[in-house]
Amino acid sequence: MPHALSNTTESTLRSQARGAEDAAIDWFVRLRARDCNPSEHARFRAWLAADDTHDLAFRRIARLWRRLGRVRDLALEPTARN
Amino acid sequence: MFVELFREQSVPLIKYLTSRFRDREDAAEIAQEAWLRMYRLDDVDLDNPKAFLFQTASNLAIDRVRRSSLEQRFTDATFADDDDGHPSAERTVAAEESLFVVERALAELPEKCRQAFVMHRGQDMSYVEIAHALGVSTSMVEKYIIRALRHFRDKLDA
Repeated sequence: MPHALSNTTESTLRSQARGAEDAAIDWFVRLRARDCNPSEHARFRAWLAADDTHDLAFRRIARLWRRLGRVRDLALEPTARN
Repeated sequence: MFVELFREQSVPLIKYLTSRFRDREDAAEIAQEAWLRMYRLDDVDLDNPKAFLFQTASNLAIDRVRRSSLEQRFTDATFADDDDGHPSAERTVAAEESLFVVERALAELPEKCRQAFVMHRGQDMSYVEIAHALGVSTSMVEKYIIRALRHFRDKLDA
């Protein structure tokens, strides 16, 4: 059943991309910590170089981060709702 | 090497790019790309990493200006009437749409997670400062930011 196969392949690819994005988010957040240390940076660099999908995922998250700069326009009432 | 470089140069690099560029988001995007290129290098034979970083960022900035002025000339030629210095109606609508999408996704987050994200992204507060403000640990703050980013990834990248 080629159709079922291609569906499976597509969903596998999608979940791989999602997994890489989850890891990219973890790294992105860790790198922004003031106490991020040299060994973490070294591990990040190894992760980034390990696979092209990692690099792509990290760029997507960096792009998402920039888009989210829009929260500055909403930031006036961060605790408005209780 | 990268940690010290990042600690010392991340703000100066942004300032340098903003002074040449004016647009803060463009500057941030170019700085991120320059840092990524630094990360992808082998750190063996780099005599002056700071100079390399600024040179890389500067080249990226020049490329960007070149590309956007080409695009600008094309746009000017195509929509000659729209060249009055005001943002086009289309662009304004797109900006409002994306703000609305961000606002709605933000509202779906749990209270502290939402506050932590807004404090960090919107108000440039550090994890430690947010932890004090919310009465949680810094590792909890990181978890909130991670959770928020995953949520935005799902809501904004559809």
